[in-house]
Amino acid sequence: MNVLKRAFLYDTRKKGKSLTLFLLFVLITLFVTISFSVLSATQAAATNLRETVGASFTLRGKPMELNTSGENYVMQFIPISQQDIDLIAGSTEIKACNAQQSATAAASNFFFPSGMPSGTISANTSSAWNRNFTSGILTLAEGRHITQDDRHAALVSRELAEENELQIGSELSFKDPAATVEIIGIYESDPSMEFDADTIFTDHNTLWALTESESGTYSGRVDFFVTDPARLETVMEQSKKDTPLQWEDYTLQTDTAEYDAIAYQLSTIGRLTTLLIVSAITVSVIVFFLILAMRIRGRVHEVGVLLAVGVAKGHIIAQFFVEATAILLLAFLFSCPASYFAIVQIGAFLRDMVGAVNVDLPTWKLLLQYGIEVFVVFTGVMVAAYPIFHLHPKEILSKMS
Amino acid sequence: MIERAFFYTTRKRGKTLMLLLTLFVISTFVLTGLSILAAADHSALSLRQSVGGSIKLELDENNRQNWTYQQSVGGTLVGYTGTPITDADIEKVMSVKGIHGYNGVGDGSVFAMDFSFISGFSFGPGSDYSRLPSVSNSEYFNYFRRGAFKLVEGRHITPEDDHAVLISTALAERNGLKLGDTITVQCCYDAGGYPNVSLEVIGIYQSTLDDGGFTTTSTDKRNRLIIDHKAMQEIMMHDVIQYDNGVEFFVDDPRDIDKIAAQIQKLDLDWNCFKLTVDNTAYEAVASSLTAMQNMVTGLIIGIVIVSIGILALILNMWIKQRTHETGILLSIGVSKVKIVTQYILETLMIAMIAFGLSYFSSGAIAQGTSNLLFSQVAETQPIPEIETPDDGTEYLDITGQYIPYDTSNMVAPDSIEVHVTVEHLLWVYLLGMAICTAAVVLASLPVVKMKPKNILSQMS
Repeated sequence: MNVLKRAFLYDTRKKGKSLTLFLLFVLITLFVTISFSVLSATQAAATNLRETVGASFTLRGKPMELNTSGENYVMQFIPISQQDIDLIAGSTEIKACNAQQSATAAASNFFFPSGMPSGTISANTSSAWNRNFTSGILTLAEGRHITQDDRHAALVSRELAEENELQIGSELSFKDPAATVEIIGIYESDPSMEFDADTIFTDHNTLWALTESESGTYSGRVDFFVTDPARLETVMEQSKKDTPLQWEDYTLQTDTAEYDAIAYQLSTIGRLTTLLIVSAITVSVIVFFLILAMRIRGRVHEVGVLLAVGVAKGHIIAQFFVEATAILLLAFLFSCPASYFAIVQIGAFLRDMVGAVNVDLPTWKLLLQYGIEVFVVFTGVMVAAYPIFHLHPKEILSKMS
Repeated sequence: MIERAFFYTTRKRGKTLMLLLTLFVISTFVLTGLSILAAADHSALSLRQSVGGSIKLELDENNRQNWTYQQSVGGTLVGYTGTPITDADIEKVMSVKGIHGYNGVGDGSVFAMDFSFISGFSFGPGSDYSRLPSVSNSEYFNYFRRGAFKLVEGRHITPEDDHAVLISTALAERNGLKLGDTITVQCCYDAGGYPNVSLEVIGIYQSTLDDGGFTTTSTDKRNRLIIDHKAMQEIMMHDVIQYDNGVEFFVDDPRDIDKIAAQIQKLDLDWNCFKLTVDNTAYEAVASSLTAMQNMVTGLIIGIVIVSIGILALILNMWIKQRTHETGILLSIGVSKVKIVTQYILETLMIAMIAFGLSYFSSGAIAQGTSNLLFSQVAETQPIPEIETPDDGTEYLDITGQYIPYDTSNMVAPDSIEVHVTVEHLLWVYLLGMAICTAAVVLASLPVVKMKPKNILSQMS
């Protein structure tokens, strides 16, 4: 009788034992597969969490001249070009950027809430990412934010809109030089932050027209928001390398206060989850070993008989291995669709909770896991059969209980 | 019977050891899992705490009967005639569980007596004044919390401070002021007759706001003098400390913020004059992801427990099945079935007791190793605070010529994460483990016990 046939007969005749082993294998295989996808799901949730807290770096031109002679500080900054902004913002790891510069402008057909003849104009590429909005000092109450494509658009304060009985769609005119903008949104400010309600947010074209300056240059700050705060430093270094700027004329400054507050705890949860899964795998391997050892130890009698009838030790061990592996393969067949089903459930659960999160199970990972399990079974059989290998048939038979 | 059980376990050393090992590994696994779950929950709590949430108690400006409006030159004078928010109210709110700090904000405006503000656009004499907020804890003050101001030197104002002031780097530079210097201010309200009050500079902040260039002296944030309430009381000549701009209370766990707000609402305060607003936006932004992560970890632990139970049951099943021969012999010599099963249970439980006990120590060691690992890794990855050169141009050089990063408030060592195995967890493992062992052994023995001795012996392999 050859090895394969004997193994097959053993597995099919000892139904109870085979079933027990099968169930154990299914349980462990399923558990390990699901653990891995839970790990990647947790990482996805953590990434999602990191993305909701902002981290940014700010590019600014250094002051060209410092005029402290008068009562005011008058500052001229080295301009930043559209080209450079595009170059940095082009990185896939940057989710948004906002160039911001300010000037003052005189009102023509409306009044500033403070009663002054002129007020601050803050030009933005996308006002949603203006620091006053991201920090929560301001909130958009009506309408929409200014985006890159807007021309002659403005956001005004609730106070300014009410004082002048303006609403979305109304026009504001400035004089000296003249310019007209359309109100596309109304903002409200946190009263405790004393935000200057005179401030009007506009696009850059309006500001260039109002200041009669060259369009396409920015003499203010540009904030770049990274997708993953954990990679802020890397992204910033990369931008610095890739952008042909005279860097000694510019400064880069990071703002990670919000992320820093949660970074430690977040990474701790991540590490704990990893640890949990590592221990789950370790335990699974140990249990594999123990089960195989128990199984083979219970068959000393059989080994003795086989040896006595002249079956080679190598064949016996091969038979044990084939028996276990056959059951393991069956377990794979069963647990593979089961684990896919479970992962779909986990993915659906995550999507319900945090929105678009992709939990997938790459085939190579699954194959790798199965390969390792086969290897573990092989090692387990070898280790468990080791004492039998070294005994004479006589000793084995005498040792039988 | 007990003797037989004892003999079996002691004489069949190999088998006993094997079962002992299995039980030991599984219970270590479960205990470690439970302790990690506890640690992860703790981390999540700390995360929620550092995200924070606040509840603001303020004067209700919508209730018109508490306010007087007087037309006068240059606008409307608004007066408040309702109940002011005082220390007694704060004390009441602080008695609610789950609040760890507060910041009351008062308001006033002063002239600079022996120094000068940074002037903005001027509208004639008398406009060279600035507002000064009084705070209980400047660290919690809106401007600092929102990152508009950053303390670069000195320390924050605490409730114990008396006549302390925080000034901006720009103001310090302009007037050559440094920590420990005193400045004198006087209230600029029309009523007049206000005293000169001296304040000691205990901290210097940097304003990160971009106001545009268009400010008056009073709207330029760099002119803000942040002072304590005792100083404000003297400047404004109040009898008691008044928190005109409300009091913000900071909760321990933003997840409970609505419950806490409801409890505050039930307190005996003058709700006719006050109103309560909850700010939980920071937590809401991270809540779903965080909860998802926690659910994942919890799910994993439940999985671990279920798998462990499954493995345990199957292994015991294997163990008993292997003893069909023995059962047959025992039955044939007339030992009752109950006694045989009891013997098996006793054997298992004896081994289980030892295994579970041992696992307490092993999982304790693993937990310790885990905490050490987490700590050392964190210590390595914790970035060294960078010294940043000021780059907004407005405050180019500090008075001392360099910037000392003020980081100690944010750098408070994060809540240490310790993975602990508790006795409670161990008790659970004992109870559950023993129940499962018993059940598994009984189930596994059923078919064997049901059979007649003759059948059993003939079935033996």
